[in-house]
Amino acid sequence: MDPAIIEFIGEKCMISIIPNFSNEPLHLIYGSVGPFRAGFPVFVPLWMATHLRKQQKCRIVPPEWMDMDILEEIKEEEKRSKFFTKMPSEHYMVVAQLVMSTAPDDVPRCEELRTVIKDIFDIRESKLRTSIDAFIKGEGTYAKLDNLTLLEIHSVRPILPYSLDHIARYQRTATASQRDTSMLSASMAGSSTGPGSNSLFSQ
Amino acid sequence: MSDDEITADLQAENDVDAEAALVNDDEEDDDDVEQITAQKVLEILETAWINEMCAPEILPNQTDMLELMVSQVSHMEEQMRDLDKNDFRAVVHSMELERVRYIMASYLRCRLQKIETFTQHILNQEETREPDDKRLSPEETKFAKEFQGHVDEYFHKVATQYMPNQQRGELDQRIVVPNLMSHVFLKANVAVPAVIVGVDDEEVDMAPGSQHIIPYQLVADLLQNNQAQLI
Amino acid sequence: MNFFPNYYSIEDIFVTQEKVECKVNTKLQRMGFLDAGAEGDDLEPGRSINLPLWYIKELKVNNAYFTVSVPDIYKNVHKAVCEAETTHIELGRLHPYFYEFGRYLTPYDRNHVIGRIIFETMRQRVRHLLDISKNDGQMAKSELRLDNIETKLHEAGVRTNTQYINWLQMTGNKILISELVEEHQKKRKRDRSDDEGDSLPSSKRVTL
Repeated sequence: MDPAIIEFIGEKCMISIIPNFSNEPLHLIYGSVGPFRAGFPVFVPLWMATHLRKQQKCRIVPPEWMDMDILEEIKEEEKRSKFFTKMPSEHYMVVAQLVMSTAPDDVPRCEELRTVIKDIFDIRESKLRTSIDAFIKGEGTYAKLDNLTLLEIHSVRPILPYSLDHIARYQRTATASQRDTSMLSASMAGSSTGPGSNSLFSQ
Repeated sequence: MSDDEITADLQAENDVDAEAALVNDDEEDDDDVEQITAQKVLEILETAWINEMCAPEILPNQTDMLELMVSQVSHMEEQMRDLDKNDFRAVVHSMELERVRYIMASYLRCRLQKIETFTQHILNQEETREPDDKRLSPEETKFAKEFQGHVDEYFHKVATQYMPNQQRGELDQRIVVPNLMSHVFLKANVAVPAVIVGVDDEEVDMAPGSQHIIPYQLVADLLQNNQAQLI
Repeated sequence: MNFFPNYYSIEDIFVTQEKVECKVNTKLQRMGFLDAGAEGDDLEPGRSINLPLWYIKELKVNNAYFTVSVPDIYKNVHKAVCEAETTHIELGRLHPYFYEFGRYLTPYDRNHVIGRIIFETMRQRVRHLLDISKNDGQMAKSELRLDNIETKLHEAGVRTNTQYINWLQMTGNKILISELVEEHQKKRKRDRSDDEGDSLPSSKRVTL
C-alpha cells in the first residue's frame, strides 16, 4: 500500500467547501452530496473538493483541527503521552497535504500549519520506531498499534512485517531444533529449557 | 436534463434479491426480497479490495458484488450520455466512476497476481472446498486451470521430458505456497475476545477499532466473519 | 513479496548450492573422486570433504556416511550475539546467505546453537536495519555489511522512504512509463542503431 493508494483511500473523507455556483444534489454511488448554494458551505468528498477548487468553483473550508492552537496542543500531548494519541482525522496527513497544496490561499497560516503537522507526524513516527525497538527485544511478534494512521503505518511497511516474518521463521526453526534436544535431554537428564525462554543459551 | 435521473440508488433499477442478502444478513429483516444500496456494495468491495491487497492468500471472491457494481456503473454511464461532457455534474460523476473502476480493476488484478503465483496450491485447495465455499469465481478457476496447464506444458517441453522419471515426480515439491504466518496490520470492527496472538497461546481481547500487527493465520477467520479487516 | 523459499526461488537455489564441510564416517567405495586429496578410488573414513547443501539436506541428520561440521562463522558470532553487539558485524562478509544457510544447517548442529544464533542475530540487527533505511542509503552501501535477506529488507525500507518523500513533495503524481515499456523502448533504440548505424535522424527513432 503505497502513498498513492493511501491518498486514494483518504480522499473519501468529507470536507466542507463554499461553492460559487448553485446546483441540485448529486447522487453519487458513495452517497448524495449537495444541494449546492452559492456562498453556503456544503460537505463533499475530498477528491471532489480538490477538483472543484482547481476549477475555481469553490473555496475549501479547512477542517476545524487545521488551526495553530489546536495542533500545538496535539503536538504537546503527543510528546507527553507514552502512547499514540487519537488524531482529529484518521487521514490527517492526506487531508492536510491535499488541502494545503491545492488551496494554500484558503488556509490561514498555511506554512506554519504545514510545519506543525509535519512535526506531529515526525514525533509519532519516531515513537513508532522506539516502540518497535522495545517490542522486537521481547518475545513474540505481535503488537498493538492503536490510533496509528495509514500513512504512519506506511513508514514501516513492508520492512517491519517482512522483518517479523523472518524473525518468526527463524524462531520456529530454533524452537523446533531445541524441542528435539530438550526431548532428548529431558529423557536423559530430566531437565529442559522451554521454547519460550528469552535468554540466550541459558542452559 | 435533471440530475435526478442519474440515480445511484440501485433499488430503483436493479432489484437485488437473495444473493446479495448473503453479505448483509445482519442488517435486514427476513423480507422476501432483501435490498442493498449501491453505497453498501461499494463499501463491501472497498473492504474486499484492501483485504485482498494485504492478505497473503486468496480470499473468497466477491463476484455478486462486482456484478452489481458493474451494472450500476454502466447504468450510470448510460444516463450520463446525454449530459454535456463539460457539465460539472458529468465531470464529477465520471470522476467517481473512474474511482470505482479503479477499485474493481485493482482488486481483480491483485487476485490474478495471487492466482499466477500460487496456481497449483490454490487449485488444490479449491478441490477440497464445497461448491458454496469456493474462493475463485468460475472465470478465475478457468483462468487458473489454463494457466497451470500452460506452465506444465512449457516445463515439459523445455525441461522435464529430458529428465529421468524421478525428477518428473517432483510435482508436490514444486507447489508454491503463501506464507500464512506473514505479518499483517489488522483493525477490529467489533469487540473480539480471546484472540490467540502468539505461539505460546497468549490471548488478547480486541476492542472495536483497535489495531494490531499479527501473523495472518491467527486472524484469518476474523476476516471471513467481518469481525476485523486488514489495513 | 517477502522472501519465502520455494522450489523456484533463485536465492534458495544459490543457498543450497553452497558447500558444506562433512566428515566421512565410513569407507565409501569408488567415491574417492569427491575428495581432491584421495589417494585411492575409495573415500576413506575420517577424511573431510566439501559437499553441496542440496545433497546434504536430502540425507538424514544421523546418516551413516557423513557428519556435517558446523561452519565456524556461526561459532564466531556467538559471543557478539550473547552481548547483543551484532550490529557492527559484517554479516555479508561472513556469508552472503548467513541466515538461510544457517537455517538449513540448524538440524545438523548437535549443540543446537545455530538456530538460536540466526534468530537472535536477526532480532538484534532488524532494529538497526530500520534505522539505517530511514536515515540514509549510504551506511549499508558496503556490500559486505548485510546478508542477502538484510539487503532486501534494507532496500524495501529505502524504497518506502523515497515514496514517502516523493509523496510529500507531490512529485509522484506524474504517470510514469512502466519499466517494461521503458526497457522495450531502449531495446528498440539499441537494436535500430545496431542495425542501421546512425543513418536515421534521431527524431524518427522515437516512434513508440
